[in-house]
Amino acid sequence: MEEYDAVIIGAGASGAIIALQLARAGKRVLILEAGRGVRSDEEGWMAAVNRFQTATAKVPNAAWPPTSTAPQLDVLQLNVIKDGVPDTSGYWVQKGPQTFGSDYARSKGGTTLHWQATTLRMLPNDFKMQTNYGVGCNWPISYEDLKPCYEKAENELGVAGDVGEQRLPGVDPKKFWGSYTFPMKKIPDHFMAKTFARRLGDFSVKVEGKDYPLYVTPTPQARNGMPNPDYVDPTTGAKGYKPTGTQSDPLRGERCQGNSSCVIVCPTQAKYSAHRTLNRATDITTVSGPRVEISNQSVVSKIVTNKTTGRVEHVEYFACDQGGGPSVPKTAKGKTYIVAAHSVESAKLLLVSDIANSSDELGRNLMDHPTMLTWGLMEEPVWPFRGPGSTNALPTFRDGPFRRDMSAFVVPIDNWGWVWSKIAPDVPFADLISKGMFGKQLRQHVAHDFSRQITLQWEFEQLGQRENRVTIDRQFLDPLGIPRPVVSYTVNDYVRKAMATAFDISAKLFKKVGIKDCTQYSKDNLGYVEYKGKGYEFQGCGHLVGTHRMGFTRHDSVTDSWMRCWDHENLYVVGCGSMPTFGTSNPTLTMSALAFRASESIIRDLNKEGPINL
Amino acid sequence: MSIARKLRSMTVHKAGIPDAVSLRAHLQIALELELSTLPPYLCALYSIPDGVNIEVSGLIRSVLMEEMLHLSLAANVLNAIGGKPVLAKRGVAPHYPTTLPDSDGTFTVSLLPFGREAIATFLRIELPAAPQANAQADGYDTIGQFYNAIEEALKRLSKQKKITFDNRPKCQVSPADYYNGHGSIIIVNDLRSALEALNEIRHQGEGISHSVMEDNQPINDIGYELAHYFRFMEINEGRRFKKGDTPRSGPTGALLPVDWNVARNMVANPQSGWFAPGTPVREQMDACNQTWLDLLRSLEDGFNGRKDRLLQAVPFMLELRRRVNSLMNIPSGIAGTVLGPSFELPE
Repeated sequence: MEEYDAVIIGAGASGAIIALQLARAGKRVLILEAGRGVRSDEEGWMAAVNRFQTATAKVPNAAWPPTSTAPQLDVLQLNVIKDGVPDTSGYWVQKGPQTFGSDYARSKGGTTLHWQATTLRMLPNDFKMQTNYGVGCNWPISYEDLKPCYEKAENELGVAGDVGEQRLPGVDPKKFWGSYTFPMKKIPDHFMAKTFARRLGDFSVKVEGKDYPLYVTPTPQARNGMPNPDYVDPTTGAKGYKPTGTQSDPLRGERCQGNSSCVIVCPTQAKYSAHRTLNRATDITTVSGPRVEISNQSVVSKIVTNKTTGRVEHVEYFACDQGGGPSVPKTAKGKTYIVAAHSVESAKLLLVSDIANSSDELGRNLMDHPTMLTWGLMEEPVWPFRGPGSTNALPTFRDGPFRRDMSAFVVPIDNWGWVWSKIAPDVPFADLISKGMFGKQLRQHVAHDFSRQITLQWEFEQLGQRENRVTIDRQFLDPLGIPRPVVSYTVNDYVRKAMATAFDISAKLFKKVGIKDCTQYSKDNLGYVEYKGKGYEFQGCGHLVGTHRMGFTRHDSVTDSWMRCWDHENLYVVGCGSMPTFGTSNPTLTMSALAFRASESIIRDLNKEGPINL
Repeated sequence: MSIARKLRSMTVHKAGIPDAVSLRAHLQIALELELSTLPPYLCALYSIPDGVNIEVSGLIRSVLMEEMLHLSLAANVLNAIGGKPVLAKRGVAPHYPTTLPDSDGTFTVSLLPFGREAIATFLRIELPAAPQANAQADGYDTIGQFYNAIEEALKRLSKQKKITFDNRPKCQVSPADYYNGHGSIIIVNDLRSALEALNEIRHQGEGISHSVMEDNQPINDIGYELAHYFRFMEINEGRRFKKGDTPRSGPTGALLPVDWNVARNMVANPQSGWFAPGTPVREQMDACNQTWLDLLRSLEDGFNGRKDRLLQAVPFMLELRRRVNSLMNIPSGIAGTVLGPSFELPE
């Protein structure tokens, strides 16, 4: 059996970035991907577009079905958990009390197959929650430590944005950005956001006696825009930026064309997916062949360690047949092992292997951005469903003294009308028909209402809680006999207080901007919670974070700040699960930065072991 | 007037293009030459329904996008020497059928759906120059001669200080404004960059020498490094080139699946004049032509310094695709064919 320099579990963005960096450093890498080897050629990609177009429910996984041997959570599987009885009907066993409402993709490319590509850096204060606000925990590294890795991540993902327009609370732009520019100029603001900003004008709200001005700012996006000639490559120092073309065809480096289906699938492939990085990694070859091999449908079932030294000796996996034939047990061997299989799947695998948990932190602190929606009809048409999906947000509450008592929050103004809040266009359309409308009257209603639909997404920071956790229970197994994730999840008053505050702000905001409020919550719905006698609803945001956090000592965390396990010196666990907190930033950018950071340490470790012959 | 007639009608001086004015006129024709290839390629590409002939579509699209690159490169050279690119004018953009020059005189270029006939035309478009004597006194016989004359004039007039390359720098299309496809946009600000831009056009496309067909040198730059002629040859033969193949051997690499019967059966050279003004079909034909005009106007403005207009060309391009698709759903009334775009500009 060949011994690789590194065996990486998971072909998502983290695994891809580490594979690329290791290959550039001359290392031999095997990536074991549990899921489907999604085809990134033109035919494969267009098939995904077709699946999206023909899907009845346009949910994140609509274009990315799982294999039978690597099942994944799907938002269509969710149920309200009643009377404390765990819901075992989906892939996850959900113990509640709240249903965890976010899913992910187990396929080559990982969840970058269906992400929005909003790439907000975390704010400096997000790294020091305990010191600054007496809640949550501090990171073992600071924003300044991670900043060079953010720049590398923004290069790899291809981020479009305008530094000068970033107006962030509690941030000194000179310190935060320096003389930086993004690789590409910003994706133009969509019409809805522009209309919203114009109608908002100057507007402040009072929270706990302090005035907070509300304003709209562009959000950086990992989607191809216009290259910025002033950009300086952080690694090579070269000026300018050449966008990566589509993953299927290097000749089609198209820019964002505003299809607005961003999350599920970008038909023009202007949006970054980890396939770009995987292609870069597998393109690196030597006389003896490529440095990076990807083995799809290879589901790791156990990581085997030496009981005396703690070192990982090999991994056991099932090579699953594409055609549904028998799954064959195999092993793979490396000098170093990297688990980068998604926060919940990584924690599950380590729990199944019964390793990396001397701290009893493994699987704990599962977080999301619980997201409250408020929606209505604008006084004038704002033309949702056309133009880029997301380009702007209200950043005011991303930081402030209120974080001692309640969550920070960010409010993207997305371009999908009531898609998320009311499953538009289908459900509102069916509502009109059920009212007996048809013909001209129906057309007029559709034209009038649908062009005015707007939903605000209030995305709340959630802090790590020990009881929000992934466990395993050997009575609940997947088709390969591997235990399924068992998840307990609650949204506490720290978040609920922010929901109540945000709900009041939303009402004032709607009035100021001229939006007829149509928000309605129901006790029967998923994510219904109460605070001080009033009901609110939250949704999952797809930001699954925590579960194997990094920390200061072997007692408070699963890994050190380089994401090396305290318990196993040749085992790294890298991904969104590594983050101790994540503020109000969509986590993929920070995760990618962490993957660059981990790569440095892995290469250092490997080089200590002597030169590798290729 | 077709490109073939324009080239034939130009005065060719024994000592080459005499001055800056004449060189600008030549570069404007170069721009028109690149422009004239777009409608036939667009018709072929858009006639292929979604989800079929995917590899073939990719090849046609790659050539198409490089023609747009060449158009921009020609504009950059023209701007650098002080010319003003013109696009959105009847006569500048040809009316189809039109003619292009090749070694046998001229040949007709029609708007056709994807098929054997279209690919045969494309092969002629991309391989026009036979090894021949110098240009005749009464005009250029081939595109090869034409580009040779431009290259020679750029060098000579620059040396004689009759042209400089520092004109209209704000009109240069830059990598920030344009990217796509193989090859990249070149900002022209001196003789070296002007020749580089010209070589990019000739290396990939129409300037290729006829003698290449007699060449038995192995082709090592395969895939997207292949000149347009060879990419169309791949479609024609249903095979990709592999390393070591020669022009004479033709492609011997992987099979390229081609379904010759799957394209929408667009009538050759649709004309809006077939339909009375005011009829719904005529309105759709006119709307498509209007979008073509809007697209050319936005490009022309962009090439003349209004960079914001280059951005607007993108939605016009998408609009054009949508309108062409609608026309290709309308029966033409002629032998079971459907309509298509006529790419006509108003008088």
